[in-house]
Formats: sequence, structure tokens, C-alpha cells
Amino acid sequence: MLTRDLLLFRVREGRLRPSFIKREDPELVALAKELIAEVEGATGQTRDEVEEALSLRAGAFSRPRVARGLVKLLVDRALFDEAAEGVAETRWDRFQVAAQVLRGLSPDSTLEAYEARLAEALPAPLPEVREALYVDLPGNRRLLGWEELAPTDLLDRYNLALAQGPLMGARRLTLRARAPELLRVRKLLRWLKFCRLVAEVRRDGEDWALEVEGPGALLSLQKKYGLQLASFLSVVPVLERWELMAEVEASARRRAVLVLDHRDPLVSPLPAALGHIPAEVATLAESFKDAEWELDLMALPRHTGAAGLCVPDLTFRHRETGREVALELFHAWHAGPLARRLGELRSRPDPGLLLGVDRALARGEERDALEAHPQVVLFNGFPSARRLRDRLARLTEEPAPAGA
Amino acid sequence: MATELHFDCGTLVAPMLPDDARLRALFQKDARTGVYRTEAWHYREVVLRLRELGEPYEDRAKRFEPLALELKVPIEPFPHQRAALEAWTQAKGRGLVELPTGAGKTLLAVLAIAQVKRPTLVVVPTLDLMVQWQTVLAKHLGVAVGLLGGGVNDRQPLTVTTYDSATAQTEFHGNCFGLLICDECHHLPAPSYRFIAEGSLAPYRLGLSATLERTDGGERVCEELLGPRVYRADIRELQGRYLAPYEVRRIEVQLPPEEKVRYDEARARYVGFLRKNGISLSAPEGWARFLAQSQRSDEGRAAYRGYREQKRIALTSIAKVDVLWRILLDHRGDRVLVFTEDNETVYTLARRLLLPVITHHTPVPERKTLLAAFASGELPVLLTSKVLNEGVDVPDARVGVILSGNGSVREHVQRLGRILRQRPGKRAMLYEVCSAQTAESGISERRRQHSAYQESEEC
Repeated sequence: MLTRDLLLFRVREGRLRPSFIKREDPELVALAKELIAEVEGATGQTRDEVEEALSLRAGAFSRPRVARGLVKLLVDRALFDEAAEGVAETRWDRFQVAAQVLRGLSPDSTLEAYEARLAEALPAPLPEVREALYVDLPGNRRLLGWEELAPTDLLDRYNLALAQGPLMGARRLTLRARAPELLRVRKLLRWLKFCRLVAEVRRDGEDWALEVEGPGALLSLQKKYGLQLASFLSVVPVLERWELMAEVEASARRRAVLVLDHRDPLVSPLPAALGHIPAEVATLAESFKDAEWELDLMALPRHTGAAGLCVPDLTFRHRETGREVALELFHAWHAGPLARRLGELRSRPDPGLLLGVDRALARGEERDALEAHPQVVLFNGFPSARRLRDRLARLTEEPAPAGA
Repeated sequence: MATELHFDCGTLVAPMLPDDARLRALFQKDARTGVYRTEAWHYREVVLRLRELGEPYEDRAKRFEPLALELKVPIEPFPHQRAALEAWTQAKGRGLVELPTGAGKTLLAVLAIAQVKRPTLVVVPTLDLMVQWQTVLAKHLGVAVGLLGGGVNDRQPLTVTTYDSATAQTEFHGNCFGLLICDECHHLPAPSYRFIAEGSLAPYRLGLSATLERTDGGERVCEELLGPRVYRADIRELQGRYLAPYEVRRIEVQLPPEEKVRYDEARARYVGFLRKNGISLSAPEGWARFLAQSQRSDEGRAAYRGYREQKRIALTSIAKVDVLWRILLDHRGDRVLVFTEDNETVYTLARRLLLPVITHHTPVPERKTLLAAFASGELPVLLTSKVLNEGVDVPDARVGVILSGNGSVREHVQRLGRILRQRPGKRAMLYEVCSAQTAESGISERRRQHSAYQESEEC
């Protein structure tokens, strides 16, 4: 991330817009190549030397602040060695010698006399001893390598960092995903949980709207979630069409609204993999035909228990009443998550959630309890469309719970 | 159905609550997730209210149980320690104690821990204090004491951490400790640190400080989060009985002529460059502009070198080193602590005089060894920048030398406190050494405004 002094943005009519760079800008690409080459050629040099060399290049560039930002991101990716062994022990020995010499001096000794006695007592020349005394300080560590990036990737990271910077002072953000694909929004929700954030999520036609903030944001805690919100931004470019807003601090006394969208040159640094929709779910989605209920793969997340987040596999919606029932599937390898979800339902009932449970998990003592559980649908391998229709039909006969 | 309490990232959460207005007033309904939520530090109040109502509850929030703790090495408390502990106990184990440095706040905390018998988190400002607390707690309570911070990640039922580390960790372990002790708790009101107490469930809390007052009135935050002020004794009450009497001596040094010439020339070079390029260092971007501009020309690079040279001369002039040398010789039989403003100065001195240094760069094992060697007299002189400003126990330090420093009054009370430790016949000495003809002279005047300095020079 970039420190505050390296952020570049403009504020106009209360809207804060980062001063993004063009990743195709030949001057910047050339600078990125130069800086990377400097780092790659600096293996073995000390941290102070590496930083100084990079700072000199940055200072000489026509846009020094941009250059210093690129330098910061590069140095963050650099790997430096650990302190050499024995430096602290040698230092300790030197101090012992010096203390002994000091104790043996007469009350009117001069500094020069002390240095002369030191020179006699030490096993190496005094200038060398001085030079090596604190050679293990962080600035003296040697460069081993760095987490490599192509020049244009470095410029992408810089743009992302320009957008993340203002979020460090935010308490919440609003995100609208325009008609997102299922796997992209699921990745977003997984990352949300990973960042230890919570969100109010709603559907608005085909769009998803999220209000994202930290768990304690509604309270008067001094806890800031800016770092987590900035981290969350890393996943947002995975959505193909989106808009984001957040109230941020433009300066110590001035607030503004950060505005970003999919037209901004933001690239997600996260691994590209989106996961997949299991074939059985896709088959079910195609084969489920019911007069009263329709199936929707884009299920809204549900908050469970005290702090759980459930992303159901699919949602059924009653065509007439609009009632929704979500289905979350637990296969044979999901014993732990199932136990957790059942516990959460005991803490906080959620009649709008059905749990599809593989019979492999209904063994022994749990079997009777699961078979009797009003929210559990047992299946072998995968719930059949017929079984689900039957369960939904039974639900239709029961009154809908409040808020369903 | 029993009310369930959960801990979630520094907050206390209940999926459902009984219909009691007082209890519900402690929470907010979280529209985002559908639960009831409040700051974790309300835990004690919530549990007491549930018990008062006779409501069944399932406490899934706390992850601590009573500990079988006893004093393995007995402590005979001083009267002021006994009185402070008694006052804190009367306040049901929540409160602030204000005692000067050297009056035994650490041992008071040991007594509190042994009394409460709960897993305890002790939060301190510096890595040296972290190590010191670990040693004292382990010695008196006879258990392993964990550390969080300075590259060490070892959480135990008794753990010591720094304010910086605790800030980052509270959302993960705020429910693991039943007693929260904040040493030098005047730091707690800082917005970045407040969450340490807000996000902790600990029903028992103890705040310790020599100087609770803050210029921004932040001590009210300490009272809210840790409890009311329950005991106070000031430096003059305890001086002479528990703290050594002390003397302050100020020494202004003149720059030698050749150094003055170099200082003037370097300063002229750097200030001239600033003026020519319209750079003001007091402006927010001033320093960054200077750095950037200075790299673009030979003149600029010379100006940068001039800046560093004049700064170095002011802080470590030959005359000052000579004065320091005289002080070290005069006090050859004493333990001497030398304080500087910044790391560059301290390492320059260390290399020049071959004397040991403790800064934030010093690894924890080396700190322990150096402090032990200093205490035993094996290494009688220790240099530091700001790191040893607070609370570090150096029992045999009799002489303090402030070689350079900023004007913060608090810093100099704490530096003074550093060398005040009771010992028969001990009279402590604090020297302030500053350069007469540089920007440093004004700083020294501001330092001296505190009751501890406002006595006559000899106390």
C-alpha cells in the first residue's frame, strides 16, 4: 500500500478521484522497467543502498511522487537477509573490552587517551571495529531477491494502491455490482468474509447492492476498518461492471466521497480462478420445473448465528407470494460445517433456510435428529428435483414465517 | 431459550435478548446481520444484568477461566502499594492508580493479578518494558509468561504485549483475558490504542501511570474504559523515602570555532537551497519536495549533505562529546544512562565511544542481556534514543544525561524518573547538555517546565 504522502488525487465538488496513471504510458513503462532492473541488479547490496539508489531515480523523474510510489511498492516486495550470525556476540565482546578500558582510566584521561587504549586492547583496528559494530541494523541488511512483477503489473498495482489509500480512512463503502455473474459475486463474498467485514446485501433487479463495513462500525468504537476495506477493494475489479463509493478523509479537516467504477484502470491482484458451479447444481437448475416455485442460482447471503455467513447454493422463490427459501448443500466431507450451521440455527432460527444433507453425514446418533429436523432435506449424492418439490410443497401448506 | 453471548472481532454479540429495557439499552440491533451487538467492554455490565434478571445465559464469548495463581516469591508491599491495591479492590477491580516512576507500579500489578486469579494481558509502551514485565511476573508468580510483539508471538494465560501489537490483535484475542492491565495508561486514549480496551471483554481492569493528565483531557477516556481514579501519590510525597533525592544540572556548550564554521556553512548551503526553490519545511509536502528537488542537481545534493551535516553537528558536536566524556569520567563508579533524540545520533555516539545502545532496532534477547549487564554494572553506560523513556527498571542508575531531545515535558519527567530509585545514600543526578548557538537551546527551556524541575536546582 502507499503511505499518505504518496497518494495522488483530486477533489472536485466533494468527490475524490485518484489520479490514475495510464499503464500504456511509455515514460512510465520505461521507468518501471528501470526501477525493476535496478532492484534486480542490486542483489547483495544493503537496504540503505537499494533505497537510496531507487530514491535517486525517483527524484530525477518528471513526476517524482509517482516514481516514489512505484519505489515504495517495489521495496515492499523486496526480500532482505537476516542479520549475519555472531554480530551481536562480537558487539558484546567489544563493549566488554571498552568497559574494562574505561574502568582502568585515571580521572583526568582524555578521549584521545581512551581511544589509544582501546586500539591496544581490541583485536582489530578501531576504525574497523566501529564500522562493523552495528552492521546488523535493518538498513545494512542485504537484498536477496524480490517478488517479481512485470513492469505493467507494477503500474497496475500502483493504480490499485492509489484507490486503496483513501479507503484507509473510511468507515464503510457502498458497492453496486451490475448484473454480476454468480461465480464472481461468490468470490466477492468469500473475500468479504476473509477480510473480517460484514455487509448488508440486497438485490436490486439484476444488480447486487452491498453496504460493507467492519463488525463494530455501527458502535462508537475507535476501531478503524480502513485497512480491511482497502484489502477488500482488491477483489472488486473481479466484477465486470461495478460502482463503489466511500466517504473518506481528503485531508485532516476535509471529507470527500471516493468514487470508483469499472471504467477505472483497476486490476485485481488476486488469483484469477473463480471456482466452478458443480455439474449437479447446473443440472438441477435446468431440470427443476415447478408451477409454483422458480429456482435462482444467485442466492443472497444469509447471516447465521452470531457471526456466521451462509452463501446458499440456490434460492427458491414462490412465483405468487415472492416467498424465498434458500438451500445450502452439505456433502459427505462437510461434517464440520454442518455441525456449525446446525448450532447457528439453534442460536438463531432461520426458517427461510433449508439444509440439503448427504445421507453419508446422517449416521449413528445424528441420523434420527437429522431426519426429524424440519429444515433438513436428506439426499444420496445430490438432492433430486422431485424431493425438493415435495419439500417446497409442504412449506407452501405451512404459513410463512415473519420476514420470509 | 438461554441468551447466548458471543465475541466477534472486539464486539459482544447476542443473537437474541430477553425483553428487558436496561439490557437492550446496552446493545444496538445490527440491521446488517440481524443480531444484537455492543462494544466488548460492556461484557461485565451485560453479564451482571443477566444475573440480576435471573435469565439463563450461555456464555460463548469469554475464553478464560479462573487460574490457580499464587505468589511464589512473596512481596512485602510499601504502604502506598497496599493502599492502592485496597482502593482498587474496593472499586471491584476496575480503576486507575497514579504513582510516580520507581514507586513500584509493577509489583502492585503482580499483587492484583495474584488476587484476581484470571488470565491477564499487560499492555506496555515499549519492547523493553515488555521484557521487564515478563521477568517480574515470571519471578513472582512462578508461571510461564508469554510475549506478543517485537517479533515474538507467544500467547499464554499471562501475556505481556505492546500498545502497537495489542491494537492489531484485540479483535482476535479480546475474549481471552479476564484482567487487562494498561501500564503507562495515559497512552490509551490515543484513537489508535483505545480499541485495546474497547474491544476487550476483561471484566477486571487496572490502569497505571505516573502522569495521567493529558493536554487533550483524554484521561476521561481512561476512566471510562478502565475505571475511576482510585489512588494517587505524587513525586514529592514519595521522594526521599522511596525515591532518591535528585539534582539537575544544565550545561550549555559552545561549538568550537572550526565546528561553528562548518555548521554555519552547511546550514547556509541547505537553507539557501530551500529559499531559492521556494521550499518551506513546515509545509505538509515541504520535506518531500526538498528530497525530490535535492536529487535533481549537484547543488541540490550538496544542500542535502549540508542539511545532514548541520544536524549532525548540532546534535553530536565535539564539544558535546567532550562534555559527555567528562561526565562519564566523573561518574566512573556509577551507572549512567544517556538519552538522545534520534537513532542516528545514538549510533554515531555508540561507534565513537564503543558504548552499548538500546533502540527499537535492538532485538529482544540483546535488550535483556544489555539491561541485565547494566543493572549488574558489567556495562556501566547505556545509550538510548526514546525507547527507554518510560518505566524501564534500571535500579542502579544514578546519573542521567540528556544529550539532545525534544521539548515534551512528559518525556523529561519520565527521563528524570528513570534514575530515581531508592538506595541508601543515593543522590541522583540529571545533566542536560545542549549546544548554545544552535536551534537546541530553545528546546531546553521548554523541558524545564514541570514541578519536578521547578524546585531549586538541588533538591
